[in-house]
Amino acid sequence: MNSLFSLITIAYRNIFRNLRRSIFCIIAIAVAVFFIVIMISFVNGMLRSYSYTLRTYEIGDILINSKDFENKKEFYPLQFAIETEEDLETIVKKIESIKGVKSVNLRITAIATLTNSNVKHAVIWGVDFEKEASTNFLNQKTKSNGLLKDSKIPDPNKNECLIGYRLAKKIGLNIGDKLQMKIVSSQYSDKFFMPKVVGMFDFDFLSYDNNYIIVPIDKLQKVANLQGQTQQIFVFLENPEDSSKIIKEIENIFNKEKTLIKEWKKNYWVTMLQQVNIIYSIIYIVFIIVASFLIVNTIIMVIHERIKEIGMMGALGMKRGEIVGLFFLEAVILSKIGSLIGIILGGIVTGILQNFPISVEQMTGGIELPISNTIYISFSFIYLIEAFFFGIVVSSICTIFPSLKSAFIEPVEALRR
Amino acid sequence: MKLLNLAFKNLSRHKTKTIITSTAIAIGVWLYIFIDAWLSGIQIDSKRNLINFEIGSVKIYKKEYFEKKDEIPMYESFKNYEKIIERLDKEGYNASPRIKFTGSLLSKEIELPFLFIGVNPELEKRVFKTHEFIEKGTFVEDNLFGIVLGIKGAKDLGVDIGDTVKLSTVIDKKDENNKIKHIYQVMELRVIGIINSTNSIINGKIAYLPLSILQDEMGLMLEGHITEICIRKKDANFTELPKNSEKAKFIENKIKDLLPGDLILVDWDKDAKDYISVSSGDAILSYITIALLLTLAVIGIANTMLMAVTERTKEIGMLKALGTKDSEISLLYFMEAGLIGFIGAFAGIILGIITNLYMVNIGIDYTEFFEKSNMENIGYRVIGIFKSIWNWDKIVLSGIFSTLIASLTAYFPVKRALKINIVDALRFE
Repeated sequence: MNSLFSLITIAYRNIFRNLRRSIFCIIAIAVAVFFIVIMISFVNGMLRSYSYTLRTYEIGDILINSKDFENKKEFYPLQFAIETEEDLETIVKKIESIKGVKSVNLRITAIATLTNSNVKHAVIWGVDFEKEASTNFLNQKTKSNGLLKDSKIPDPNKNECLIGYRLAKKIGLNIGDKLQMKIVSSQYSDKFFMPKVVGMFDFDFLSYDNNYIIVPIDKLQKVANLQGQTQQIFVFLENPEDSSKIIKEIENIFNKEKTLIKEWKKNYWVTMLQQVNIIYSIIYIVFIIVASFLIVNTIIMVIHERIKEIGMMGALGMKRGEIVGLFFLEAVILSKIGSLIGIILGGIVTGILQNFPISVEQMTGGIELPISNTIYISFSFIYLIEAFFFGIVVSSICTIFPSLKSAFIEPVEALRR
Repeated sequence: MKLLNLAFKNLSRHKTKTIITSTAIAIGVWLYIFIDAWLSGIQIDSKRNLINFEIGSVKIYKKEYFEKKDEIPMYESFKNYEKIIERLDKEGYNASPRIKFTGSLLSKEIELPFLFIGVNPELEKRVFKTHEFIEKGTFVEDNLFGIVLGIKGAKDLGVDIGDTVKLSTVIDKKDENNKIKHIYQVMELRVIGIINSTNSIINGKIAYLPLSILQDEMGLMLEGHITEICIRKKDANFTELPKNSEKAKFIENKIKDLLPGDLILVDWDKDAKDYISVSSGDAILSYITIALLLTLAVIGIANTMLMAVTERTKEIGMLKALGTKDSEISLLYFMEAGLIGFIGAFAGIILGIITNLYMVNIGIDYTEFFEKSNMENIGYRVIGIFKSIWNWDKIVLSGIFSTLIASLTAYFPVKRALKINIVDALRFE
């Protein structure tokens, strides 16, 4: 133990023998680690926004719908309601009573033809707005329900609706106007209805702001001939990570032949996004390796320069392992200082940037991706620690090999040089 | 030449060090070549598909239409365009008048939103390549109540050639007082063709039908109105992007006297601005990554050169004592640094060429990804397989650039070397 400590002391002192060179090594590692911190924070911020948006709007934590609906879900057909043995209310209560379930939300979605407007189609979203807004932030940017000024929540007993603010702008609608539309009901019949617009929403989510009209689910059930039935059940959990456990309990409630129950973790997008993380890890490794080349070079040079010293140390009885350790420790100290500077700088930058929204609208050019319009860089000490160890581990592995070179030096030969 | 030889010999004094330093450059150059070829491959494919299927080289719109073209405002239409087309024909341009509107198609099972394009088949065939990609049946024919669908759209609707579909839409027109009226229209059509092209949008929920049947009470009562004219030069090469003679300004001058004040000519790249910005967004992130990687490599070279100068203090003193000029010494070190860059760039280029050989000829198949993710509009107008292209000028440039940058990093070490006092240097241990 004592000898390790003295090795560290010697290694530390050796750094100052050629300070300029050491600074170069430290800068390189710091640049690489800084970049990694920024990338980890950016990518994670993006992934978090992706997954939150997906879960809030498209897939829930656990999603229940009929198998027939799944095949054609792109077109939101109303014909394939979930078939249950008991009535819907009892089922909802049953799911709600499972431990860990935060909320059970019923949703019906349908394509509407707007019969008296220059915009021809919209998507009708039949939901219990108050319940949805209390489960999730519908607008992530402002952390609110997304309703604009002067809006009120539609009354299920009246003929009222909410409309995406971009859609309203396209049609030229204002609050108080009426909107004529037609849907194809679950009985394949055309149903016309004309709700009054009582509010507008801005979910900061392009495809919803551009295309969606929200009506109370009770109202849509009546129009679509789906009384007491629903197209989809979204289950939200206290902790989304528990979905694999809770899904098993939910599966028992439903008819397995006809109903499909999925958890968010198995969604195609979610798994694909996780693969993205692997690709980025490879990029991080390449960065650190390139930065470590400097340290590797330095160690090679140092061994070359101090060959006489190595001979001396060997002659004075230092073991080979200790000599290797000395050079290795010098490299590790350099990469530690570099990584530390890298994460401090990265931490400061991401800590500041996390407060500034990044608009992805320009990046996506108005294409409706399943992502909210604004993303934030996510800042976390865990990312800093991750990047720190990433830097140290990868560069240490790289520097082991040149350090080993010192073990092959014969003390007697070296002293004669 | 003698100096170059000397620089090369100097490099071989520490072979491992030289190899490691140049590997950093090699990785950067290699990544650059790979990503550049890959992105430009997708972009050029995308642009070609936009021009050959959707835009042509120049479009004529009503000004108000262009301002809100994403909404497809069919009420901003115009008529009496025949003279413009005649003149364009005389000047050597093909022009295709079209009307675009949205509505629904109903099969027996389902009602789906579609984008409809009314065309004059003869003129459309001259400007676009869509008709060459009819998988089944034929392209639209004049006065025939037939409709041609994208392959994915047809599949979603569950229809095939010979089936009957119902088109239901609301036609928007401006009346005399400039108020928009909405007229509900339904017509029955037979599916006569299915398109399977290289453009993902055209394969989706898009339907082509002849302009001629839409004009009167039998159709949609358009009465000669269209929303756009697409233009392409008669001898245009469809595999290349439009040249200067196909620019909006150039064409505008030829038809200026015929052009009503409310019509404008729009270049294809201006028309497709949104889609192009998607691809540049992707590119920026990749280039920043490569730039940072090269920065690291450059720091590496600077470090190596600094070590070289310190190590050879005695030698430099000797060279000076023997009468070597300062300029020769600096050139020697610039060359040594440049050589490291050159070796790295060379290795990177070879690696890049090897990867590109695969990427250009085979590419990466994303068909499964597109099917699973269920996205029609990804910004890029490509289907399935992504291939790279050869960008020889960029490959050569990347080599020259990294050699130059590498040699510049020797600047500070050289300054240090020149400051060395001969007497002190010779005594240096």
